[in-house]
Amino acid sequence: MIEDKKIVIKITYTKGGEVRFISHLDLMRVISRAIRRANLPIAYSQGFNPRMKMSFGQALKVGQSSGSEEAKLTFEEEISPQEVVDRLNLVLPNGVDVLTASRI
Amino acid sequence: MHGIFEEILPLVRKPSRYIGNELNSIHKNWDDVSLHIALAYPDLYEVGMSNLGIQILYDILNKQKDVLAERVFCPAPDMAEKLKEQVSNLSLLSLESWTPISKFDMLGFSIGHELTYTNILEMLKLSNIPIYSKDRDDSHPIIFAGGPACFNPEPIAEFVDFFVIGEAEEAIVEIGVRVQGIGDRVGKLKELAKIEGVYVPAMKNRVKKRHVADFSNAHVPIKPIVPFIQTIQDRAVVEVMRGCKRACKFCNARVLYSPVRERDPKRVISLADELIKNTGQEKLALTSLSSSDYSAIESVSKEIAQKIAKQKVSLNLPSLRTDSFGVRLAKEVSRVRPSSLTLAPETGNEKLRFSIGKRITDQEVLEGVKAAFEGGISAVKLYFMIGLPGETDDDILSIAELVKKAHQIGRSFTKRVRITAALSTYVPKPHTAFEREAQIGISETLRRQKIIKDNTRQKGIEVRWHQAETSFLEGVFTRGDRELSRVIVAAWKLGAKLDAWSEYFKFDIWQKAFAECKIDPNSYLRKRSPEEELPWNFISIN
Repeated sequence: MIEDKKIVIKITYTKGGEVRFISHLDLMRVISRAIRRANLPIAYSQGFNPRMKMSFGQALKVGQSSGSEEAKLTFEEEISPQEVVDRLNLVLPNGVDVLTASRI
Repeated sequence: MHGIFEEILPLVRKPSRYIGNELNSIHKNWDDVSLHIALAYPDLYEVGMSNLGIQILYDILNKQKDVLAERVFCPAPDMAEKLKEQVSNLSLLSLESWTPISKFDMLGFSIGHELTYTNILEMLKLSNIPIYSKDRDDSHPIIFAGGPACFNPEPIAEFVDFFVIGEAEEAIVEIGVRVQGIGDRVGKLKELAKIEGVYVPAMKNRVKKRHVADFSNAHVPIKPIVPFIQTIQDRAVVEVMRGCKRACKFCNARVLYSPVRERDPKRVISLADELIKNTGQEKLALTSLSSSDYSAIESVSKEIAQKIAKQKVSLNLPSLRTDSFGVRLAKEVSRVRPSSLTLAPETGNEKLRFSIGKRITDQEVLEGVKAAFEGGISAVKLYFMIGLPGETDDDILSIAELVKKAHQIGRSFTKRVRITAALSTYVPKPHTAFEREAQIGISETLRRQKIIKDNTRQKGIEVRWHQAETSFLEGVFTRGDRELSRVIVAAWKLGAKLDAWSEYFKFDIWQKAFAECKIDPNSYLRKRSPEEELPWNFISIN
């Protein structure tokens, strides 16, 4: 089997408005559901319980807002960083906005 | 108001229960509409947001041009305290626009079960609305209620202005139309009582259960609200069928949701598709009271499972039958291998099982267990009811025997077998064949639970049970009368709330409340004679 080249994209996003009151774990679920709604070609882990391949920066305190949080998303197909930004922002709830995306 | 509320939010647990603004929530302009309805579930957010009825009515109402619907749930005690201690007397607020509930024209409660009654009073109080219907005037919202527990509305009839008995999808639109234009609440209630399915306690009118004739094409919210926090039923849901083709005598859901209506398979498949697209949920459930009996269950579930596999969405089929067909289908469509499987034999032997109308043989039960282990599942949960009419100690012992047989079957497949027997106390329900039967009391419940526990003491078998006291209360209220409203008020004043949560439930409060009101709760568990008038007799089911 040929090892796929990893496509990792780092995004920065906001956590503001009322969404600042949701926990880190809930925020991760908000983003993973947005990825599914946007139908992005995210990569999944192997095994019986496949999970989206994504990693998040340190948790913010509940109630604290931030203008620039980070997450790394791994895709199984080539996709442009700008497309990730655009497609996610279409489906994210108010308070979470993807600002930038870059290939790493 | 918003400022004070924002200051409170960081001070309570799970503030996200109160912020609203979730994906797909609907925010209409207050001044653009003539009718403002708050939809409530009298329990915590995570329970209320698992209620499909609220999501359906919310969507239907907000589709009406001149109507706005927002949601409100029962705050946890820490938030309730914070609301009470504010000098400005901060009211309970709606989730969408953070508007005080007392400002709405109507407040509707969806009531799933009896242990939420005190939360209704708590929510009214926190909204500065008088708890008794007779104490409210034109300046207060009209309070209405619906849902399974309202098929005997009498224990809460003094708190609620009108009830919708049965399915509310169509009635709610008619209510919205009729309630506008007429000035005073008495006039409004008189007008509402003309609608099929509406019961106004002050008028003591007879009422016929409402149901949606064309369920297949009935309104489904294709963009349901997606909560931020994990809810009790955290999944997208497609109802495939209402009603039940079986005739189990103990079951009230079969009666409440009659007649049997199936949804067109093509619509089920397209709804599943849209729901995943609009919610991004990782789980999808096809629900009904008995999914094995949905004519197209096999083809529909296989097609959906295949479609959603790419996005790693898992398909759940709750309420499958306790036989090998059900078990095999569940395994086949599940992308994720379930770690455990739940079957509901209800009784330990087929004689008693047949007598309650559940026609599944012991052999079929054990074949279901075998099919589960064959597929690599090592944990099986078996649901039983104790206290069924005619149940003897031999019947109780047969539960222990069946559990041990299931364990033995498991042992022939794997060494690490776990069988859990979950025992609930049977509560005779209104409108069922058993509505006049006696319910066993607390000490008898404990005695029967102990027999099962004593006869299943071996490694790999665990026995769990419903708290005898909560089943006792449920039984008292489900067949209760208007007298009991005094007990609900007394218990609430003594501090009873969130009674469905074991961490908040205090039985001694209820005992004290019954004593204060000089009412013997045990009398409500009695067998009723064929001549006795039942408090729910004014409701006709067919």
